[in-house]
Amino acid sequence: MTVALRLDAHDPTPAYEQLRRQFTFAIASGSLAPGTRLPTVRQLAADLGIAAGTVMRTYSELEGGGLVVTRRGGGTIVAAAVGAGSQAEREQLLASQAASFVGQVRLLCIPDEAIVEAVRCALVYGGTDR
Amino acid sequence: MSTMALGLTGITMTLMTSGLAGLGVLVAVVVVWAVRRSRAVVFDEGRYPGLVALRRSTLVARYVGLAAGCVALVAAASIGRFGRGLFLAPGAAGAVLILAVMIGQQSAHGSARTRGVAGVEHRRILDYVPRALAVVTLAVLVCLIVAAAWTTSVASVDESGLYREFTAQETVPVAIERGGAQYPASFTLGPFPGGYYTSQLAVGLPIVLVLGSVALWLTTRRPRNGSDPVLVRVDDALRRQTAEGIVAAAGLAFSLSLLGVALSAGIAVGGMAGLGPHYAIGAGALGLLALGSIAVASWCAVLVLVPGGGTVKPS
Repeated sequence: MTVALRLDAHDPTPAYEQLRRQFTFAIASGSLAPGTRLPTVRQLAADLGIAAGTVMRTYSELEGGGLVVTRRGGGTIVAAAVGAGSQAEREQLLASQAASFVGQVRLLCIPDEAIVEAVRCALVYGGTDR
Repeated sequence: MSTMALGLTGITMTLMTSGLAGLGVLVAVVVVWAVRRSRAVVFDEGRYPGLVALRRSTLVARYVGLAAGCVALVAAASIGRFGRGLFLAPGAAGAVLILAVMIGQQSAHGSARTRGVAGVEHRRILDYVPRALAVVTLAVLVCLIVAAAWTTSVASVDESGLYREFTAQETVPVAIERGGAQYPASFTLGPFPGGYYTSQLAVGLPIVLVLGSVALWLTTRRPRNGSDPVLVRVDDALRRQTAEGIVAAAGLAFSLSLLGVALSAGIAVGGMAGLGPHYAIGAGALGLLALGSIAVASWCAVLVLVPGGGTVKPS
């Protein structure tokens, strides 16, 4: 199953950050296993229709976070040490996903209390089984 | 006498009939194979208009390239004296065909792309190139380089000063009345694929190699929405079809060039067969090379003429 990457044109978050979040999520959730080779910068930029520099920045951020390793001539691969994620990694991912969610629902002019209530309901009735 | 003549006529007729029957069977096999190959890449056309455009441009480029390649073949073949252009023609035709395929790919560059959506996938040239065909094409290229290097190194100049003849230096026994000694003598036959002809290969074939490599790279690099499995299946099939056409065009250029070198060298060397067994063996080896190159050229010609459905790899 190929992991899909989607850039939301209405999201004020920069494209490189949107990509970084999606890669982080895919790596932490195990969808991208350690050793998986990522597409080349040029290929991913062409597929998404964005500048190569944007993808390069995403990879650079992922590398800085220790999620991927880039070898000369060997491409960029998911780092071996990354599995279901360390506690810090998972917390970082949660914060990033929460920030993204809040940013999007606030665009719908929903009050914060209603957002919190919706999250509480989702925790009780919805979402992936623990 | 008349009985013998009748007998020979009968044998000739039998041979001709067998030959025609064999040719008929070969044509039938090729036609059946071609029809089976010609199945189109099918998908929901209403849902994927980009893929429809991509499939159309892939096929149109192939057939425009074939027509332009034929023109290039004829034009290049008429260049130079003593049939020199015949050695340039396969390379020129192959290069033009590959160029057309490349232009076809570029004209539909973004057809399989959905801006802002992609799959995490690493595409490689080797995923699309047909292995067996690529190996055979490379083997033909190696044979061609070896054969052309040998013919170039042993060729001699003709009266015009052109390296296009084969000269055998042998010691031959002379008549008993002159003492029965052995004297050196030289025998010359041509045309032979010396530097005069092989220089054309040195121009055409590197161009085919470079263009083929660039075309394969561009075919692999063409963007797509890798997160849609249906689109990926169809796009992979079209990429495989294109890559097969590129490798087959190169294979056709190399095998026809090898046929020219092996056939002309074989005829010249075979003409010296009476001077010693090594000439006969050499001519036989060159003849086998020519036969092999005909087989490869026929295979490549069918692959170029009839684009396959781009076999889908089992997932």
